[in-house]
This record gives sequence, structure tokens and C-alpha cells, in this order.
Amino acid sequence: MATKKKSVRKVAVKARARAVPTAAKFQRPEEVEHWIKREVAAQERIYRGIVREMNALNDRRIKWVKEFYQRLQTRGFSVHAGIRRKVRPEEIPPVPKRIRVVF
Amino acid sequence: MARRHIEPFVDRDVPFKKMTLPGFKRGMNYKMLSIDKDSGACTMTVQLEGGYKQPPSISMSDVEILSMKGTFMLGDQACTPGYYTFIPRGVSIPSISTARGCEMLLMYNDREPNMIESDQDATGAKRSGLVATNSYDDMPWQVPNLFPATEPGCMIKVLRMDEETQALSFLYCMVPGFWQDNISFHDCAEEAYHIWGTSWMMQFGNLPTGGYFWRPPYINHGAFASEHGVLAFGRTDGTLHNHFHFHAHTEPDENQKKVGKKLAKQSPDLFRWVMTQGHNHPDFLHGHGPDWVHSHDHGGPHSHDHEHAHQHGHEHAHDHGKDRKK
Repeated sequence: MATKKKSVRKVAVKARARAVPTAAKFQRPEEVEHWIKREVAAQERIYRGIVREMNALNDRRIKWVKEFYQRLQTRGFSVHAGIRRKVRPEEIPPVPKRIRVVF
Repeated sequence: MARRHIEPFVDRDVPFKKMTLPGFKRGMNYKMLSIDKDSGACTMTVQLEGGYKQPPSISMSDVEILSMKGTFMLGDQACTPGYYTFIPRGVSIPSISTARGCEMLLMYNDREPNMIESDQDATGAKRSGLVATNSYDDMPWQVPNLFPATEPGCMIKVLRMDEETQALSFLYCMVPGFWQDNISFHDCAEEAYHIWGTSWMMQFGNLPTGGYFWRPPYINHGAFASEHGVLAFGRTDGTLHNHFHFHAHTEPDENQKKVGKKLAKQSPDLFRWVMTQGHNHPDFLHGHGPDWVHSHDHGGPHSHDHEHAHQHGHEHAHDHGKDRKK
């Protein structure tokens, strides 16, 4: 029991010595820097994969856009909550050949 | 841009990795969903193995947790799926343990995952900002009170709103058969994780269970649909306003300009006042104005997270940092 109390006190002392940091920059240990670099590199690979997949989806997306533009003229554009407005044919934008979706 | 545009990403496609950062105990595994390359702030799916235990601790980052599978104990509190907590940086949380294992979303908002053993708050920690709720059992679904709003059938439970930035953490759902025929973008970054169900967006196709996105501001998304319904967790890093339109080809810079134009129409007095301060560097952003407009706290970590330049009759610019903090 005495040992437990001692360890709690030790932890508490550790806490008192710390304050919420006041600067946006922190000194990180090297292993933490490495971890972040690894994760950022992995994220870049994922990002490039997403860009490839989304580019490959372009033809289907263009078909979806055509269907969407059709629905705007029949069912209507969702303006707010359940309020819809039928869009006039002259308001419909031209369908592009490619649409970039990841930035 | 501090975090990449990650959309769509499905965490079920990747395996868990062992957490090796200092301070974390053995038995914690993670999948990285998105990470800020500068600060290390990140969102992860985390799995705690059965028998995992960690002592009372503090983090030097704001932390958010959403329990998704299994049960873990936070001190004496049993945290079942739907349990959500926001822990301000420096606030001590009780020990965490799980007998049979669990899964959660774990978000570090200011810096990389870090944990320091402590049963006391750090000096200056804001315990009053602690949020803890069982979002599945204790909160009703609400119709979003945004103008303009989503189509009926998309509902929300707001788990936390930042008083200063109006950043939101929330659960949302779409009923089976949900459909919304517009394209949306926001002035803020938006993040979401599908706890259950599949939704479709005209730009990205289907996002299934385990689907995730981190989307920077002004990026088109929608039309939307969900055949069987969706339960999801979402966050923004600022005020969530829906800008609806139907031009499928527009890119973020065009959308941002449209918003500037809209602001001039919708809030002409505000727009004129901001634009006629002598230069485009309003004093109130930098502490020279009245207190009620200068609301950020210089006692804690902060940065002027925006890029800007101003003119004084000669060419120069300075940079107050990068994008938003999350």
C-alpha cells in the first residue's frame, strides 16, 4: 500500500512540473520526428493512390453529372431543406470532359 | 495546406500498425486516417487489445475520442460504442483499460499523439472545456438548423462546438433512400468517418463502412445519396455553412471567390467595413481592437493560422503560419 501511495505522489510531482505549452512549436525527440516523417510519407502514397483512382473514375463521373443535370430540370435543385427549384435548360452548365475532384 | 485532401479512404483496406510512440503502452494499434505534416496532429482508428491498460495521463494536445466497438473503462466509466469525449490539452484523464478489446476514433488536434503519465492537470489546463457524453443513448437526433440546410433525412447530434471558432464535432446520419441534388462546399475543412453504411457522392463514388475523408475548404461534394442509410462521425474546423450550387466543374479558388462575392451581397455593411479599414489587415485580428472582437487566448498555444499580406505603399508580405490547426 505504501509503495502505491509513493508512486502516485511521484506521478503528481511530474505533472506539477509541466504546464500547457505556450508556443506553437515544440522540441520533439528524434524518434517522434521519424514517426511523423514515416506517417507523412505513407499519407503521400495514399494521396497519390487516391488521385489515380479518382482520375480513373472520370468517365463514370461525367455520366453521373449528365444524370444530375437532367434531374435538376425534372426533380429540381435542392435549395434548402425540402425546397426544390426546377432549373431551366439554359441555366445548365456545359458538361466538361474532365472534372478534377482531389486537390 | 497542413493536411492533404484525403478522399475517399477506406480504413478496412489497410492493416493496424503497432503504436510505438513514447508513453503509449503495448497493445495499442492504429490506422492513420490523416496527419498534419507540420504539427503531427492526426486522426486515427485505434484498436486496444484485450488486457490493455494505461495509467492516468495528460496530453499536450486537445484530444477527441469516439468509442466505436467493444468497451473500455475510463476510470470507473464504462465507455461503450457512442461514448464521446473531448479532453482539452493538459487535462488529466483517469486510467484506460479494456478487458476484451475495443476500437475507437482517436484525434490529436494540435500535435502528434503524446501521453504523459499524470493524475493531475497541467498548469493552465482548461478542465471546464472537458466534454463527455454517450452520444448513442443520451442525445436525440436533430434536424440541422443550418440555412441553407440539407434535404430532410439527414440528421445530426452535435457533440461539441468550439465557442471561438464554431468548429463542430458531430454524429450525422442519412435515412435509407436519402437523396440531395446539389453540390456543396464549405469555408472550413471537413472530416468524416463512416461508422456504418454507404453513401454516394457524385465526385467520389461510394464511401462504405470504414470510409473516411479529410476535405480542405471550398472543395465540391455532392450530389449525395444513400440507399440503405449511414451513421457517421464528422468534424469541421470552423463555422459550417452550406454553399449550394450546381456547377460540377468549379475548383476551390473559384468557389472561394464566389463566397467573397456572396458576402458582399449578403452582408454588405460587414463587407464594406472590413474592406475599408485603410488596408486589408484589420486591426481586430491582431489585438488592437476592442476585447469583444479579439477573443483568442494568449495564455495557451495558438497561432495566427492564415496566410495574408498587406500593403503599406511598398511591396512586402508576411506569413502568419499555415492552415487551420486540426
